[in-house]
Amino acid sequence: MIGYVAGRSILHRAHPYTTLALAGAVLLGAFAMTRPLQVGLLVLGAAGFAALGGGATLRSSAKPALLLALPIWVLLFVLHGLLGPEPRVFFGPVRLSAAGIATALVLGGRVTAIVLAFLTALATTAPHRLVEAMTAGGQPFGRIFLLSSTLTVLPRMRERAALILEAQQCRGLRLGGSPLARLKALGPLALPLVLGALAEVDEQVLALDARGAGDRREGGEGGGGAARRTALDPPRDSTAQRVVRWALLVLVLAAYAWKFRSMRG
Amino acid sequence: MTGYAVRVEAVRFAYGGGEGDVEALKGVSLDVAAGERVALLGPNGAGKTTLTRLLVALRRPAAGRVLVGDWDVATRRPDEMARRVGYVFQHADQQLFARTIADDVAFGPRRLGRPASGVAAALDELELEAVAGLHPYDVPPPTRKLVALAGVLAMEPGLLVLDEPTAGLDRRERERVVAALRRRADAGVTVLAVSHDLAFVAELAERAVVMRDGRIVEDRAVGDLMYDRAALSRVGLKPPTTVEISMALGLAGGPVRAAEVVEALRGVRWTQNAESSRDAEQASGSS
Repeated sequence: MIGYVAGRSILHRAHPYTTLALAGAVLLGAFAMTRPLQVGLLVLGAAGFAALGGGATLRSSAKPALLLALPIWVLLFVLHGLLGPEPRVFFGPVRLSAAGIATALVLGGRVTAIVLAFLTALATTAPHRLVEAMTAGGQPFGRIFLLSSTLTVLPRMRERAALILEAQQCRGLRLGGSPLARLKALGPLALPLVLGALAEVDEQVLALDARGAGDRREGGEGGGGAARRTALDPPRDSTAQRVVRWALLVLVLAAYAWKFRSMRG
Repeated sequence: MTGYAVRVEAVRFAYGGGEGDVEALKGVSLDVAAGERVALLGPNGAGKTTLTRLLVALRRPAAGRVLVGDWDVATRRPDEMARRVGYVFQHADQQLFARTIADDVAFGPRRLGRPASGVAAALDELELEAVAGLHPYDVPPPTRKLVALAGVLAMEPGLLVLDEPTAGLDRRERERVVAALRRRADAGVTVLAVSHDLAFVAELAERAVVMRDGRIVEDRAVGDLMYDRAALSRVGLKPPTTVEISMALGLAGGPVRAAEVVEALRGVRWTQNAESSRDAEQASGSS
């Protein structure tokens, strides 16, 4: 299941910025890693990050991450292994490019690590805590709304999709059968989902506007400057967490410096 | 049209399936005769919607048995159950997808191989012919709800199960729904409606089943329940205005439907006029 999973792990309790910084470090770090061994370590790091979220998080992020990454792995091996440069090595009965295999390992590892890290961040960051953290940090409302809507859209869509599925079954729609029948069943399922989501967004924007969400003026009409909203229950931050976030930034910068130095060398 | 009887035997159902699961139905038993009009009442979380979902195989009971006619629901898929049961969801307006309202209403009958004549009849019953050529999202949500109901009526099921069919509808729209459902019931269709709208229940149903905490706590005639203020209050309900008026005036016969109350009120005015005329005659005679 992709989306937030309630829990009490260290990641659930951490400040949302720290969790996002960890995921961001994996993302940026992935592109600094150029060798299979380095990327392998990054994947292990991402798995360790997911393990910090507890068993439920690991289950909810590892399985979809593997399912998402698997077709990419297959595609990469086929493309780079078969079409990559000489020399070739035997993998069972098949001769594959050694350099191509190394490239596939690097690219596949990057994708796996990034997907795993972001699904873990998604599973351990409660949208309302992130909204509160951003509000406390003085972020503009538009940015907060965009991010929180993105985080909450998946569970809402899943719930709505389940309801539509049930409703159409009750109107005689059969889900099994031939590939053509399954393809035909997509319309009654996907169209109301998309149309409903668009209508919901429209209503949500109107409701937010009606509550003054789009008003950038301090104190309403006649005021000047951007209004700063009050965070009612901001998540607790700590010096240790700030140090971790800065350390991650330094680490990422160091990785890039090392990468460019080795490229020049 | 053949109506189907419903038999629910000692059904238990829990959401979650783990340690922290919530038992929504705790041994519910219910018999509904073919052609009966039953209202399912109770506070939110009482298990009403869960019970109705068992009738269309969207949920499977953990224990007990559910029968619709001679079909054991446990052995059927929801698309098979659609041949006998028409289920109208609470937010049924979210299921529409076709390019026109008429097309959407025709979706169910087409899937089930039912005659297209049912589509026109359903559109006519709910007075939707004028909007039949429009896109479902070009009409307001209450009209979409009527479209969803028309889609189910067009399937001509023998059992109609409705979850809050009047939520969000205005008086005229509600009257259209009541009239359509009563017509179906008169033709022999069994109707089971979940509702918090007691005015609607008074107009439609003849029997009320009240649920609380996953159990049936009342099962009696609607007319009887509507006049039992204490029983309604226990499940967070109060009599509809028409019944309140009837109780306040002590109308004879315990009328429940608005038309019956109006009829009884006519009688009251006539009696009062007669009494006041008699009083006036006596007064003039004595002087």
